[in-house]
Amino acid sequence: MAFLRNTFLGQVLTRDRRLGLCLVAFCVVQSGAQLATSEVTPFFLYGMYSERIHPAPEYVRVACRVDDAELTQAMMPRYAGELFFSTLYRYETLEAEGFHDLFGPFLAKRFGWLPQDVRDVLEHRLSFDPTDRPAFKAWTHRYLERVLGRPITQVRVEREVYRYVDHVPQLIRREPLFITDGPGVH
Amino acid sequence: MAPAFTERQRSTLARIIFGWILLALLWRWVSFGMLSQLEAPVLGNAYKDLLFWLFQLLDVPAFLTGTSAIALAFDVLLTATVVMTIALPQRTLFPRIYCALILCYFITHTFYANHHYRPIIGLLVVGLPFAFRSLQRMSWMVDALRYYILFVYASAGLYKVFRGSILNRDQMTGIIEGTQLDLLLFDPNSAHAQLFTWLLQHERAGWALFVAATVLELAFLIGYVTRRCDVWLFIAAISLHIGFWSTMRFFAFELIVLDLTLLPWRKLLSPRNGNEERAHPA
Repeated sequence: MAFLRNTFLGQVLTRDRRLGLCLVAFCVVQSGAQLATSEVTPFFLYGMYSERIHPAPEYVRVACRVDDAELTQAMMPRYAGELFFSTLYRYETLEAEGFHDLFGPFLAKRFGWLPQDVRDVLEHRLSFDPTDRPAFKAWTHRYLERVLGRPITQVRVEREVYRYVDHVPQLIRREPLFITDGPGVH
Repeated sequence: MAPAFTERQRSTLARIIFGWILLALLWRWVSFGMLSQLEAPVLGNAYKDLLFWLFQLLDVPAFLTGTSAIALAFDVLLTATVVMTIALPQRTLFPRIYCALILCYFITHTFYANHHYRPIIGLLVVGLPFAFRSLQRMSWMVDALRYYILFVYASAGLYKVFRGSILNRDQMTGIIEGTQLDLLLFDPNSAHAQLFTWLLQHERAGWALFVAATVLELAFLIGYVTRRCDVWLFIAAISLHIGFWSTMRFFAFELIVLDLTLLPWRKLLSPRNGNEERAHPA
């Protein structure tokens, strides 16, 4: 016990019970999050590429062409590039899954104890609504015009699949995801 | 236990920390990362994070980004709280408002970024010590953040050990192939792309780098038993960030602000260096 009293948390608890209890509660919830491997802000798991990662047979890349010119993340300002391309990758995943979002299976696995109608409402409110696809396409156009600072005629987004051959990526196939032809596209 | 900061030390530290936060926000302003610059996005991701679910169920992200005037007012207010804290570091009102706003910013931006970018936690928690009026509580919170950043790095190292990725010889190959496709396609002759190609050709070298990073992360466990190595741990943290940028082109600017808690601020801002006040009791 004397050892615990000499720790940082022990000392704070002794001298300022309210703050000490808040810090202990944070540690307990953070430890619980580690054990349950679930993340709730601000209780994050910091793996930093700690999952076992092996080279994959194929890699999907989302290509974006603006007025027939290739646009990559590196060509955009940092946060705009990250946001825009991560959003395109999410759209690509949704498209590949037939626009079935990830929440249904997750709710069934972790929240199976909730009544079915509550889970249905949650899934509906959290998932991407496929009827919003025209609005999403219009947003890609609008956002790129703002970030690139010029009017755009067309945005073409495609899924490309690559395979590494002798450490060099080789294109295997390319499929269209969507095209926008003006900011008011629907 | 380290002594409490003095009023003057607190003000200087607040200016340094919020100066860093201001830089982070300015970077976001110039690279279209503020809510008013998102053009009312449509596709978001609430992930498996219950706080994100709550925000989405209450329509907070859509409310904060759907109307330009509201989004702009939010961004200006967030930035203004940081500027006001720098101008009036002894006041606790501005850091308190900042902490509430940056949480809303973090969730809304991360929701629409479709990428659960965790390093921004640095901006989220680093303002907390300055929300306390008591110098003793503020000092304890700075110490608590020091333990938190030790946990961030040490847990990354421990995960790599317990998940077995430290023994995975093609770990770096998998990471590079998955994350550097664009660079290898569009800028294959750049120095960075040449380094990645070399690492792909020399898998053991990539693995050695991964093991070295893991050892460096595990070294942060030392910080739980002594403060004597804190400066070295700060150097280790900065080395890790340089390493992440060199080998993954990933730069977590927002997390570095927490690394600052490893510096011996009480010594750096001591009376010998111009600070003549004495610590107030809690």
